[in-house]
Amino acid sequence: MNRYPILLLVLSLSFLSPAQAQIPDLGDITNAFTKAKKTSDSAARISKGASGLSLEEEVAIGDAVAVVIVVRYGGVWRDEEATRRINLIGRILAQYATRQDLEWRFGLLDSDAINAFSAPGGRVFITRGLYELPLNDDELAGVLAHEIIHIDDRHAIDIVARGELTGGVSELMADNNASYAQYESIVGKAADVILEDGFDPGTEYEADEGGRSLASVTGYAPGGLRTVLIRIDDSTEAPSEVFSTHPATAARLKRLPKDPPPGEAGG
Amino acid sequence: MNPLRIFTVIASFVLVCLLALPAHSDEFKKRQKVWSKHQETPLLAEPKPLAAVEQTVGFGKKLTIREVKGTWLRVDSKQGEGWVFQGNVATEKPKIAPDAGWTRIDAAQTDTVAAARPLKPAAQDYAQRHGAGDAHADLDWLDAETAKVSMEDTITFMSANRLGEYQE
Repeated sequence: MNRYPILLLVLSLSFLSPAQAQIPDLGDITNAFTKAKKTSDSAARISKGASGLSLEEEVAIGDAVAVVIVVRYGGVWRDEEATRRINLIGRILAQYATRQDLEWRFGLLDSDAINAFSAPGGRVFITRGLYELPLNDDELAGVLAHEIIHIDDRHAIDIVARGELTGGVSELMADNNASYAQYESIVGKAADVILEDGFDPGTEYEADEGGRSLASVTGYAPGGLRTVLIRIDDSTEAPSEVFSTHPATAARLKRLPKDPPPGEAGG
Repeated sequence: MNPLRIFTVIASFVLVCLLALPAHSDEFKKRQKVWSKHQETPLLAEPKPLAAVEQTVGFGKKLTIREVKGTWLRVDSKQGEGWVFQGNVATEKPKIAPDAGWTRIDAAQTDTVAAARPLKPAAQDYAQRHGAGDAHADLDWLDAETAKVSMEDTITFMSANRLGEYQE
């Protein structure tokens, strides 16, 4: 096949782009200076990470969010065997996440609700209700991989950072006696996103897709999460809470590829 | 309009649409570009988890696939070539580099006596101020349990369950 028509089409499409070069107003020195300062500030933020927070700051926020999660969901379920299992599977998945700078930790919450959460900085939680569905390794990997993607892609921390409230965290890290007001505000906002409002549906679908890929590349069946969602969707029981902070199960299933259940896939 | 020209335009449009799709495919192909995910991504002499490391490439480096063998890819980089497990590369250039300032426990140190990192002091104070001492204690317990899972345990589990680099 002649490749040139394709090239021409691509080039012509690129020329249709509405983006046009802006000619700066060279006479406005004040604006130029302000712009230069903004650029310099932006560069400083990038050096600390795309969210404008250093990893130490992200972990400090995530640790406090973990406290909130544990308080709201009945405390940590202190089952050594189950905790070891989710940490083995979780850590293996996390090895193939992009962020290798995190100390990933996986915990179980002593709650009948069916839900899973991720706190910035590498802490992932699933409820006892979800764990005891029960979940085989492929299904558990599917759930954990979804939460890993939320952290790997900095979904919560980016929402918090967009609020431009992050300056106080640096001060807090440098001086533990500094005012906690800003830190409290940031932790509260992150906890609200994770425990109350949830991420927007697009972000959740992104985590579903990314989690499926992560599970698959690790060697788990790609249909693990899908199978869990189907089981929940088909269940006649009505627990107090089922993935309340996530989009409707049916909507998630509609977007996930129709992978066979793990057993049928040979996984 | 010439039917051949119509076909060419439609085929071109379809191809452009396909190229515009997010690269989340699990399939890797010869000559495909991929990017290293880790600060130190090892390129190995053979497609085996314990093969000798030929060289390491940094985060976000472009690699070209020369051969696909199961879950392993033989890739070219500016530093040379070698085998890399597909989980260690991304099909899209990673945008956010890992924070180089973080001191991660080295794999060799992550044995059964690895110490658990406690909650950050700011979070400990947060727990105290909110009367969440029980949650703090729970997280301390969880961190201690997590620290009991060593890198050696993880590798043994991967090998036994044919996961990651140990997939057949």
